[in-house]
Amino acid sequence: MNHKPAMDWLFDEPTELSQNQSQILQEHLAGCDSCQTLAESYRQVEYALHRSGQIGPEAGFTARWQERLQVSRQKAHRRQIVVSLALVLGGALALVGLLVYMAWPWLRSPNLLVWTWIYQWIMLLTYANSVREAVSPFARDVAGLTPWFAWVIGFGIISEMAVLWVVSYKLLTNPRRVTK
Amino acid sequence: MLDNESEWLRKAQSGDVQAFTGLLEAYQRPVFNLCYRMLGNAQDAEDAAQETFLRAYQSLKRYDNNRPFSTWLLSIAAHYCIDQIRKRRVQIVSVEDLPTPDLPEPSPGMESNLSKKEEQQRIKAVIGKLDEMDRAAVVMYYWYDFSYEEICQALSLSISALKSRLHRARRMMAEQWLKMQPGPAAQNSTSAPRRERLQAERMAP
Repeated sequence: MNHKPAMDWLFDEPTELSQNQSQILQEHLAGCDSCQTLAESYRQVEYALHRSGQIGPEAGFTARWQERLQVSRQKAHRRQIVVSLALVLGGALALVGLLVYMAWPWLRSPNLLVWTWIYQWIMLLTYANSVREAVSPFARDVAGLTPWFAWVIGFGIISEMAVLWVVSYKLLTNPRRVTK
Repeated sequence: MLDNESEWLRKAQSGDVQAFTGLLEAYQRPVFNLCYRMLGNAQDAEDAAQETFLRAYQSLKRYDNNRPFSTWLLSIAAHYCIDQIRKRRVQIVSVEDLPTPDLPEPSPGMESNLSKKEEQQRIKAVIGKLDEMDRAAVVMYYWYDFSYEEICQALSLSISALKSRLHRARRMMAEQWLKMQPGPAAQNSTSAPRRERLQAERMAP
């Protein structure tokens, strides 16, 4: 006996079967004990599934969930702190690594570094001295040619400008007093 | 949909925990039931239900308001349970392999309770034999009266895949049920029209 179409239709949605298919299925079930037994078993399972109601949690589910939410938030907060610290430390380490990498040629030979610094300072001082030697005769001549009152007027103008600058700065930066 | 659901959802989406608690109160039973049917014990079901609500709360801003909240929530629960079953598959012990507790001698008043308890054990065993995705489909179909479209949306399946899974699951459940029968299948009148029974068993959060 061929059970194939009947077995397929038995476990399909009843609404999806055509009238002809339903009739063939019923005829097959009437004449086939094994399929009839399975069909009955299926009916019992379906009935049992529908009969068994929903199961609820124990009392206090909401309170337990609120506690869990609190714990989850604390965990998330801790995770944030750890991630931030890791980022800062990682960044600092990367920076130090980069600096070491850049300074590595000098760090390998500190003598050269020290001598380079000394040489730079000597060069700077030598340059300053040669500038002074070049400028000083000219400055002496200018100072000798300038009359004494020109010095007085020059210093006076500079002093007045300084006072004007200080007063303007005070007036601009101090908060204005509001009068009713 | 519940009367206050959209209001609770709107408030919860803007970060109001109290409003979400309202949703939690309303849906804790269906979510717990789904987890219990999927995982088979109350402790794991409690944990899964709690985790489901936590995940729902955390991803509430991504929730599409056009979709039914119950489907979305149960979808989170089902996927979480499926993951749990897959994770512990190696450790799982078949329900049939567990030692059967000695049942007391039935007294006249106890008979109905005992048979109901026995029936629950059988249901648990029969569902426990199913593949995790088939199990989720069966639970959603029989306990929540979800339409094919809703189950497909919740489990990310196509309609044809769902029908095929339900077909296979029904056949497997019938065969398992038959194996567990003490004698030949009882010829009782349990075959009330299916649609009528479905209507009576609507999901009640």
